[in-house]
Amino acid sequence: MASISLHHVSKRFAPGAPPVVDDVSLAVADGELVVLVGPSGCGKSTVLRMIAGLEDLTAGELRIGEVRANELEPRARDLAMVFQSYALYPHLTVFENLAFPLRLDRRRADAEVRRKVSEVAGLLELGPLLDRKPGQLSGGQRQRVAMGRAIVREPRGFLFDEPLSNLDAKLRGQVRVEIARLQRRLGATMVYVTHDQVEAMTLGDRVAVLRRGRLQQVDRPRALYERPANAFVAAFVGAPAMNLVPATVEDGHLVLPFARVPAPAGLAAPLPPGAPVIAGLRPEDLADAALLGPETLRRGTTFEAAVDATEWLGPQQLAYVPYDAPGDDVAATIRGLARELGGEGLRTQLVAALDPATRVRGGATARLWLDPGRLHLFDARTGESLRRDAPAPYSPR
Amino acid sequence: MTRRAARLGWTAATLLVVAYALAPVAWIVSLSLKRGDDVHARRFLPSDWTLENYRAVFRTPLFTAALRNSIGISLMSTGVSVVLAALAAYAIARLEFPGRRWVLGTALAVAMFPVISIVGPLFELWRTVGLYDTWPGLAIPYLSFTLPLSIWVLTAHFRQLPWELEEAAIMDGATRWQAFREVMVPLAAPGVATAAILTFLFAWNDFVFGISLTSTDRARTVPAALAFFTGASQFQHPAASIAAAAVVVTVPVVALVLVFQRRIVSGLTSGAVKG
Repeated sequence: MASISLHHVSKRFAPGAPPVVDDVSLAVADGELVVLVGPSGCGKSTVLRMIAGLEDLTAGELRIGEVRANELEPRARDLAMVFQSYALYPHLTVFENLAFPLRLDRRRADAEVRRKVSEVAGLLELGPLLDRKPGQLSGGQRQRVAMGRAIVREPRGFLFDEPLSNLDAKLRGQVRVEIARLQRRLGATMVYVTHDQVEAMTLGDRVAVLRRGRLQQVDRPRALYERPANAFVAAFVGAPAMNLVPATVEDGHLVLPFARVPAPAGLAAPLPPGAPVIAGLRPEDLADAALLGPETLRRGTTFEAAVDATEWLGPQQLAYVPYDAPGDDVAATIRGLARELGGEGLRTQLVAALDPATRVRGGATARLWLDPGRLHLFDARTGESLRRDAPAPYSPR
Repeated sequence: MTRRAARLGWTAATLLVVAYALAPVAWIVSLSLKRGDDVHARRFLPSDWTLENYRAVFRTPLFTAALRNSIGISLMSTGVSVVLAALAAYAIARLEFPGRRWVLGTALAVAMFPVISIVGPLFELWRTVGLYDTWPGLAIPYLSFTLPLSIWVLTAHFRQLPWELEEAAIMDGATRWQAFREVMVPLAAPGVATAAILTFLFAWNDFVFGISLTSTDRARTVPAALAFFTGASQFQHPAASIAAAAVVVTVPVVALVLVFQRRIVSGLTSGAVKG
């Protein structure tokens, strides 16, 4: 296994074209699983393909095991890749697919090939399938063969390009756990690309969030959730997504379209009066005031909310509260972000994830509670977090 | 009822077409089984069945030499054509280089060229160069006519193969050549078979080049040799032995096409529709 690091890496597909990957620096330690995540078109796959050697770097340096690898052929990089389509060789049996990387080296003895293939087949429970062709396998089985073909060669690192997106939801969860288990067992260095933030948060030792070719934040999943560096990361991480709400500052208070709350402590600098900001509020940080004791109520702010729809999920109940947003630039920025993350950005609404015991129902007014201390604040123009403990805006060393 | 009538109509039409296509073949087969003077007896079936014509044909050095030449030259042009076409098609389908479309267009233009127009110049050229009456002397013109079609067929095949398979092979540690040979070519097998059969048929059936660019048993192919057949005496028409020879050279082609017809059809239509 080896470390993999990118230093100020950029990629343009044509001279003069806008960069698809823009000055990305990222170090993946030996044995670490780093997930590259972002909406489609953010350049995450291109980063992976540059590491693989399937694309050239326009600028910057790639190091594998502390050695410059920019000019190395994919073969010499000794990294295995699992493709989204699995890319199994349809004319070969499962056994031959698994043996393919080994047999490319003609000096290798047949007995050794057999031994290694059966070892990997055992690890991934592919034994009974060895004589089948890929066309006769189910999606999950194909996925395992693709992983087996990557493992069998004992490469220095693994690259995954959305390996689960062709599986149905149930299987995806299982395979996700399987990959995590395998990674720990092999102590493997892995770079994993996905557009699914749940996959990113559950799998990654660290998660790198990309937007339009630029790294936004590289952090442990928990830090990403609790201290997002900017509004984009805040909205991308977590499901249901964080509510982003236009707000203004008024004599020590924060005026939200539906409530007026004390300005949160712990800001990097005091907010100038009248300044527009973006307030971030996680759905799970809202609560039904009717279910809270007086102690808790006193700690936060209670406000009236006209709930227009609810969704019962079991562990929580989602309540949707539409509100009128000012038609200003801040609201437009928020709508833009929502669209970028795959939403429609049509209506401004607050999503609250309430305790399932709640009696809040659609079409009625409810009293919701929020803890101002849990509010995130972002600069209305740059989207950067205004919290004192926020990670510095991502700038490559 | 109408459906039944339609089916009857179709059956009748099919039978008619088959009869029309196969009648001459049946005639040739029957002719090849007739004895000397029976040929002119104005009867479809031989009155006296015999394999004598076949034995005679295989005793004729003119024919056996021609058969050897035909097989050799056809295989030679097929082999070279498939290898060259596969390499060219791969490059056209996969690599970015200036003039890619131009290569395809020119290839097509070459295939459109009337055969007869280049026979004269080739005759002179080959005599000067020393290729006249040799195997390569025929194989080369065959190549120039079959390569374009082979390139088109194989390009269509390579284009529809998922690019990721090749990248997977490269990530598995293959060189570009290994990825081509071990993954892309086997996957393009239907296209390769189609190209091979079409090339073989062109070379095997050619008459114009065969008669113009050869003069002896060294390189004369069967279609050309048939024109030099004589009967038992010079006053006897060699119809029966020509028929026998024709049957001998037709059988392998028919067998080939029957075995591979699915592949040919799928090979020629692939790229047009996904499947």
